Amino acid sequence: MGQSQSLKIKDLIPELRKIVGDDYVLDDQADLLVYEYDGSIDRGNPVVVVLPDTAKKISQVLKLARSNSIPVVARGAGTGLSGGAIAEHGGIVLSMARMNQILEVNRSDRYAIVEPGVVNLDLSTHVASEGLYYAPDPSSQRACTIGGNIAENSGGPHCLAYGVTTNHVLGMEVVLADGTITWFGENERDGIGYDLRGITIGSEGTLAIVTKISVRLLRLPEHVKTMLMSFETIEDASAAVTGIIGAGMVPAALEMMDHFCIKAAEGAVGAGYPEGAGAVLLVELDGLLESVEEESEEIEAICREFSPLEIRVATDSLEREKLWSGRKGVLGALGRLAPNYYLVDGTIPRTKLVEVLKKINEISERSGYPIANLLHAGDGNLHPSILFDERKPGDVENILAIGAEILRICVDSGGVLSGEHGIGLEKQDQMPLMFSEEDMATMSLLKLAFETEDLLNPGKVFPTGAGCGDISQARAIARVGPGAYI
Amino acid sequence: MEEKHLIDGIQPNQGLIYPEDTNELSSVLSDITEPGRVVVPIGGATRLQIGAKMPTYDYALDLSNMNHLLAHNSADLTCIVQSGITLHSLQNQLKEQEQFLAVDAAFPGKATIGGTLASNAPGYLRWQLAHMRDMVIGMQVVLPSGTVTKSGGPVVKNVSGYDMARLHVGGYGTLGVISEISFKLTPLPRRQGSFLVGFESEHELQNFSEEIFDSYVMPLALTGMNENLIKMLQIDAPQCQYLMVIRIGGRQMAFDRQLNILNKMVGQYQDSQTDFLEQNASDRLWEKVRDFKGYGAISSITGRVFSTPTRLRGLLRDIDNYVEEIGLTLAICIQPGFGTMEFHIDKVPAESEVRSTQMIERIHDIARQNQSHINYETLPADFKNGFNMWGKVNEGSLGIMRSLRDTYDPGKKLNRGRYLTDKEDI
Repeated sequence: MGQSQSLKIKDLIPELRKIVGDDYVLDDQADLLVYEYDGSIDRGNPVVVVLPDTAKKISQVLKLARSNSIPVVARGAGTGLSGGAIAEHGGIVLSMARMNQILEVNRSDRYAIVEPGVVNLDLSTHVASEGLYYAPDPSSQRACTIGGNIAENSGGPHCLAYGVTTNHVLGMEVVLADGTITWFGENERDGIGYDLRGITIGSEGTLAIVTKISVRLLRLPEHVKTMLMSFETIEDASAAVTGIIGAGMVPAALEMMDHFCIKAAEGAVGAGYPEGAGAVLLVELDGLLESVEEESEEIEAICREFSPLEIRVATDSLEREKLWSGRKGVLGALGRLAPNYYLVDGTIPRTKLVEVLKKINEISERSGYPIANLLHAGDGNLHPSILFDERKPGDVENILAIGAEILRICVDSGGVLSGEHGIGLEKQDQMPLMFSEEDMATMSLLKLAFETEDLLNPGKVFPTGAGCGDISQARAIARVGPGAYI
Repeated sequence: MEEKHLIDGIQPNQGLIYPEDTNELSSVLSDITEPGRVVVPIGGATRLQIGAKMPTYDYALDLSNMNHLLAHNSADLTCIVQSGITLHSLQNQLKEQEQFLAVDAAFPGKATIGGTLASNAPGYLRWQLAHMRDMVIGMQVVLPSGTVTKSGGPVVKNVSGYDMARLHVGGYGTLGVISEISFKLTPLPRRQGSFLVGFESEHELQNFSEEIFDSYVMPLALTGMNENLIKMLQIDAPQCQYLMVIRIGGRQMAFDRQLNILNKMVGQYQDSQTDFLEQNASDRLWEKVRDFKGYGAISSITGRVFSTPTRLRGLLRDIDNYVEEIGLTLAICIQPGFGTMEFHIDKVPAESEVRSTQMIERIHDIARQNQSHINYETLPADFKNGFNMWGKVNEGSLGIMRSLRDTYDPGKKLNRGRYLTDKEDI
């Protein structure tokens, strides 16, 4: 965004204040700094941050932005880690922090209607007394918001058995780029017409701004069993995962952490992980008591084939929470090992775990950068976290190159670029690893079907550099009609 | 000309095309360049009756030769198929590795997986296993221009680019032709069977359903039906006005526990009668339920209701009362936990067309009063003129849907005039 556009936005600030109120427009540099990044590498400052509290006000902001050709980036808690919520082109950041109300809980029909700024864990806590919960549980669930989860189609440890965000959203109220307020889907589990709900989920805030969400609630299980299994090597742990899935078992969660993660988690929260182990598996089963017991016996038998150092079963909810505290706190704990970490998010077929982790280890040894491996192993979602120091010259460039190499390995093994954090800014230039120009042009047209001005979270998801001529051309043709000379 | 390519009595006036693979499919579509030509992708032709009546169409694009299971990675619980494979063929091949695809639809020996997805066919495996769209992890689609595109991939968790497959599930082949699909699979339960409970009132059936919803029983499928449907399907069931069929599965101990819970719960309903069917008998019963539309007369009407579990209560009662009032026979098949219902009005007299049009509009009104939606799936062809079988989509969504259609099929080559409309194309 050029200086002239920046000035134009500043001219609009009085009008923005009229829409949302004086206290809810931030343009002081110190305030804007908080919105410059999402915990990963990329950074970008908005010209102004607006905090609306209703869909109507969002609609007014979007109309104002559209009539002045100003980009708008919606932001939840900023925990996405792929740069999706960063205002790379300046413009307006639309913070959903004030839209944080749980509007309705319908126990009979098992749904809740929430605003996008509701913190993920708060919803499950709110409905727990009704014997219900909301299944998607990203590791950042104490901070991340359900609106942000929709943008990234977030998963979490328990999505192995219960599915990711898209499997739990029934409908959404959205504001389109032209300010129209409408619903995609409602409270029903099925319907007619194109699945606009489904296509918007995971679209990284590029198609519409979500202002209300109807989510499916599940019955809390009768019984939960959490087991910690430690192995001498990460290869043994990976082989155990492949064995479990290959035997047709789908636990509620099947997580893996390597020795770096064990060390960090132990240092930070004292979760009781064995520090000498090469890797641990955190396995959780839930459901009917009988079902859990039958399955846990089979899983134990499979794991024993790979010579576990220890199999420990949480005996009560406190011990269970302690085991999970290590897993859920491990990313923050990596700060004990290095000043910075760069989390890579790729997914591979589960049968390729051993092979891919071996290659990642080779990269670590070759490059000299430690890589802590944290995996939603049951669904093949890897989070190799490269440890580095951003103050050291060359470190950022080096770890970005390592991240790209790891993603290439994921794709070459039949996997994909992102399991749950999205493409954002971070991986947009790697999209051609997975998709042809025709694939990307087809996706790019989708955005044009929603808005031709490209003002909602522009410059995300698709590659920006050379070689993207077809995408630009497809967009241009869609704007001016077929037959136009580009 | 095969009968399967007749749509509301209309045959293709330019011919039939049977592509063998994606490349041929792409060539076919890119070669049809004459403006105004209409192509209808056809799988098993089990759901071609759905949609507005076309005045004419040019090409039947029959995908039944694209019928291969391309890859089955059983250790990963995933597979890749061509869209023309029948459900029956696919499930039989997956069964060899004790796995299945949690998608079911009527007439699986004919119904193709592509047609099932494109037409968002109703199925019963949704209580525990969710909607069929949730089984799709990747898709290859050929656009009307012939361009081959893909999204997703053969992994179970993926946020890499837009999830384009979502648009094609329930898109009735109006944005592109599905050519290949990657699915996630489910292990076959070690034991399966069905618990049957007969009730004397719809009220009891709904109450029992709610109790199951609140219990720890996790049915693979659950459906309720009224006496007319029981008779129509000739089900050997306990004497009753309403029958609930609960399909359960799992390991032995978990299976037994679920049966115990159900037996205990049903004990509170004094007049209820129960039965239990082991897997083979259970499978036969579910086949009848699944294919129930095939039991009706040609002059029948079938509708599909989208609602919530509690709204279905009032809706079912109101529709039942109305149809009885006008002297016709209503058969219903309700999925109370999922909030959907299918109904069947048999032998609608041809001489009363005006009354029948009023009837289907009146049922639409009843649905709206109960905050629910109806999509008529089968209507006698004469009834289709001037009546929108699809029901109403909100204007904001419809605007985007029109824009999608204009974007991906600007020439309206695919299924022109059939989707979400009774007049011009959306």
